[in-house]
Amino acid sequence: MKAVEVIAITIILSTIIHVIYIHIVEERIVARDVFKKGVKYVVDWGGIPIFVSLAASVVVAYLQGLIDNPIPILASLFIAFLVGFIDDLKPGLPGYYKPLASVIPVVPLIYWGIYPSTLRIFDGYVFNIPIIYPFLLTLGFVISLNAVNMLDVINGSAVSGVYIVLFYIVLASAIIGRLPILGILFMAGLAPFLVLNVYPAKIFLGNSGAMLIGSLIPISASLYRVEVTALFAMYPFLVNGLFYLLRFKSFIERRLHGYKVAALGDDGLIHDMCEDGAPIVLLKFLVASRPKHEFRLWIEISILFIVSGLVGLLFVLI
Amino acid sequence: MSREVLILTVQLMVMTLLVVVSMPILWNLASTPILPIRMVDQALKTLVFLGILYIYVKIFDKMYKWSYKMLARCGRE
Repeated sequence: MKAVEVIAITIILSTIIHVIYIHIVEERIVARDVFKKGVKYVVDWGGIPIFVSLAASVVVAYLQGLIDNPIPILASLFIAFLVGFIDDLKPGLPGYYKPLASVIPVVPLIYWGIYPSTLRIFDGYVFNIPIIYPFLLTLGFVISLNAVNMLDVINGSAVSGVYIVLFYIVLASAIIGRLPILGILFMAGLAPFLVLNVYPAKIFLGNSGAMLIGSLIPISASLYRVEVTALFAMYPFLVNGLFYLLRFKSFIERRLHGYKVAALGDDGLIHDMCEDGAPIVLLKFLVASRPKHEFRLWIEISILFIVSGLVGLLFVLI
Repeated sequence: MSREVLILTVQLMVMTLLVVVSMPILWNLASTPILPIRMVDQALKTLVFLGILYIYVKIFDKMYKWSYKMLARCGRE
């Protein structure tokens, strides 16, 4: 009963925080919504209300005795938020900043020893890797934070992706007999933002939000030991990030590589720009055969996440 | 489900099948000590795993780029 109350409090608190944030910063902190006809601006730096909501929910859960030590989780979330927030404040930072800085959020987890020493893939295959696990976890953070940030291309794509991955992490944890209270709290805290970010978006993630929600996946997956399920559920994120990595040998943003991957046509649909040398990212792949509406693309990306998560679930079911 | 989503799903299935099929080999490699020093042994095995991962990525890369070329309207209009 206590857990249900905390989840309800988290949703209510998070909704209030988001509404107040939008009300305060409206017309002050905004970014252009590029896939809309005409010039439309939307509230930006959504990482701020998300961080406040998640931090508040973790503290409430701790006060109610649902989690033991909130410090490593809070520290990790705060650093992930800060890494993105610095990029929001200073957009001209070099391309290596984010991949390099996204190593830092893992430090609190390693310092407090909040990670397992084994990697479980199917029931019979448990790899005992106490030395390598921290390195894999660090790699997981770098990949997750940057991959989430790079898929934040259309309204709701990154947040719904993270939300679906978190759902599968929670489900997989429950299947192997763990109560994933923190995963459920993350979902509850993120729910109001998800509603406000899907098409037509009323708030954007910004780098602060993307890096912050990107950290929720490795934190929850390692905490509940469902890393392989999370990895497969992240398939659309990985596909998108991989083709930046293969093309530019780095996680590089659009403003830095300069290629136009897709653009809004006069028909209100998103078109493949067919530019030679442009990375074949997920958005470009999805509009390859014909132009599509932003909302339809969001549906397609979400379906891909749902299917990927189902495949990931096999690794705990078998 | 659109053609693009269907193709990406099939590619995911192929990669999953590769992982599942290679799992017993990886498991045998991981559970059999090759070198006497544990840390060096784990480091060597990690390198082997990363090599296998690289092969997976290359296979996926080929599939993805080929299917994009099949789907794309670029240069056909």
